[in-house]
Amino acid sequence: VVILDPPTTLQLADGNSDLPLLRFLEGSSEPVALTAPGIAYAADVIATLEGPQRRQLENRLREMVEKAAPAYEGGLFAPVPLYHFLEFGRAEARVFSDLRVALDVMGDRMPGALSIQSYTIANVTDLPIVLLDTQSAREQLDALIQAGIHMQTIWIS
Amino acid sequence: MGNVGNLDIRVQKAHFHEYYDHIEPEGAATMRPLLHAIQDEAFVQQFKVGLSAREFSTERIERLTTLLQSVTRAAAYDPMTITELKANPGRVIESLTQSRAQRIADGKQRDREDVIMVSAEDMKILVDAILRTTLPRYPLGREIYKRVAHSGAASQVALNPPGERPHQTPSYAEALHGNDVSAENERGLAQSW
Repeated sequence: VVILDPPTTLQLADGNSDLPLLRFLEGSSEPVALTAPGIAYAADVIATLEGPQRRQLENRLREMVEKAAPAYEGGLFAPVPLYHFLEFGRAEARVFSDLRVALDVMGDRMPGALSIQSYTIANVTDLPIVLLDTQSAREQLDALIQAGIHMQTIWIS
Repeated sequence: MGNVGNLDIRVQKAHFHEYYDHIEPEGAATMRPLLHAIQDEAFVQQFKVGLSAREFSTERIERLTTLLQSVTRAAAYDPMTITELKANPGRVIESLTQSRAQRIADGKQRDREDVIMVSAEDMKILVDAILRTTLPRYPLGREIYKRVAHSGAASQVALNPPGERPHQTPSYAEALHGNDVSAENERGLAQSW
């Protein structure tokens, strides 16, 4: 299972086959996990758009959320989930500040709250998180590693 | 000796039927509604769709349907006695290998729980089905790609996802007394695109 961070969640909602996330998925043998902060970020960005594009992306995101299920759901007559869905829950709430403190060294380039929450989920679940290969994302991961915080990452570009 | 043995079997069978004519096998009555359900065409169709969604082959779906009906029927109706089983075990095994489950009762010990026999292969199929249907099966990345990917134009926000405003932790005093600045940082995005 791989976790999508906020920007890659937005790319999944778009679905264009040339986007880095879609190119990664094309050759991937891993199920995909959406996260609550990733969905919140994508919905927040999409809400700033106007016209048919906004409606299209909202519909696609809504379907993603509907097709995502918590890991405990199963059974023959349960709807077949398309994605894992990972909450920002109790365990994540307890370690959020550890990651935030580790990222303090970034100063003004500190990631946003939703990104830190996604990192926290990846850290707690110990599942690899898919990240767009940007300088800021690399710096963020370096800061976490320097603080001794482990995270599996898959870089895509 | 052979005649005596056959006579013994007949006597025991007669005793068995007399017993079960008056007393239901334990749990049989509670299985009847389930038996009606699993024989209902709409239910069977839903059952098959559920298995199909979990990528069971058509052949496996048919066998599981037959097997489920057979096990339920066996649980709902009169059992075979151990004596009857002993009389022709080869025939019973032959029947089991054709996905016909068989309920067995110990006529001599009424308080002993009945058992249901299925073939080893059917048991393997049942266990596999239970494991595969009680755990959700998530599609792989490449399967998701086939489902969602399109060649239309990408949105600008997906091409260049906007960064969030840097998270700003409020001071303890701000957190206690409220501070609109930190709340704004939580809400908004860093820049437009």
